[in-house]
Amino acid sequence: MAYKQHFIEWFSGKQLPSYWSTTVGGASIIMNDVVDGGLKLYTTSTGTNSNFTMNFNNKRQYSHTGSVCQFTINADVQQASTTNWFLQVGLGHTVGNTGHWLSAKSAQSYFRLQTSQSESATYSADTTVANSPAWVSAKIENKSGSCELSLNGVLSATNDSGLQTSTGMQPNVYGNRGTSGSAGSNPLVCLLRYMEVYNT
Amino acid sequence: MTDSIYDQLNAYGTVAKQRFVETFSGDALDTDRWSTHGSGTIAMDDSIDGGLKITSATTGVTRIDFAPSDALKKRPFSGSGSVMITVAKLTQVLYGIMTHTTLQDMYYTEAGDYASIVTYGDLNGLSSSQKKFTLRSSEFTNIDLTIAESELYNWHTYKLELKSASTEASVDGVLEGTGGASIVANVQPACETSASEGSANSVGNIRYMECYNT
Repeated sequence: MAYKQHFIEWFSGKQLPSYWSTTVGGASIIMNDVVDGGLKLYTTSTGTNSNFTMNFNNKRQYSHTGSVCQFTINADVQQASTTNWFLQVGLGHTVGNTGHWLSAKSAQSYFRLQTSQSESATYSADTTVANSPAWVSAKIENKSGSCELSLNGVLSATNDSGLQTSTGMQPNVYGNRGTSGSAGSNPLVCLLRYMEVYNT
Repeated sequence: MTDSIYDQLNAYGTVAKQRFVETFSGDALDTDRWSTHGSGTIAMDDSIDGGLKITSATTGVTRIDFAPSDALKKRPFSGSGSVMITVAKLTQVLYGIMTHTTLQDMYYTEAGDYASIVTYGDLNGLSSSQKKFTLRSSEFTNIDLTIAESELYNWHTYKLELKSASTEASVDGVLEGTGGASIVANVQPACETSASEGSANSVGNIRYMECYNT
């Protein structure tokens, strides 16, 4: 059988490789000068909807019905203090509204699996892993009729609604800092130190 | 067998620590990952199994690392719990020193904390006994490894392991030297060639590097 598309990102070095496409609005993306720090994506402004994105600039080499995305993540969305802060990490066709992601969102107690055909057709399923800053290993498996999210090796959520119907996915990271609430000047922070994507 | 590299490298359900693999293949060194320093040349080698060739100037150090400046050093590895593996060769017979396997905390122009496996070539004026492999560290006296001089200019697999209370150097799967205290600071990988005689370049090749926290 021919080898299928397979990608590994170690998030090690002086800066993010240029095959990633990024945008920042009141945010920054840097390699972290910390043991096990990986890549740090974080807001630097308290302005409403400060945000960052990272993807493959619409080079969609992964199947929405047969692919896997694994990553290690530490997400801090100041869960109890904010309004409309969110972080989506996974695979998608279009940043923000079409894809299958691990979702960390303000006012949510737990990480979620979010599957979205569009902004108006979004489904989320709670896991039992707390939406708080700690390192987690995540695995999103896209199958023909479902999407599964495993956290730390345990199947944590399965969605069979809201599955992407557009062809092709790319790695996607999207963070948005809504309004500050009681979070003050604290940033939205996403740390990543590994990502692997492959077609099955 | 799973297709997942992650699942092959890590115990099921665990969160992986920092790791990277560099295969030194392509038309040029990946300068998103690597910073380069010194007035020598750094280029992919057009030879089978050649990897990256680092050629120093006739005096001074030519290095790759994760530090484009002092302020922008990126050191994701632990000075007391990490491993660095390289496959490297001191290529130039005369005047060459290759510090191929280094974990260090400092910028190019700084003194700092480090641990290295070093290959010393046929330095001008040095006796035969000074051609050698050495485990060097800022934390303890140099330890000469017991590898034959005839092996100086061959490819070898080097493994440097920083532990909480010791530092180990292995060559081709054999533990060749154990030093004392670990490095307190967090560290970055580096590889360099150097010369001090002023009459010839130092040349070394490296075709694999892997670092990970333990």
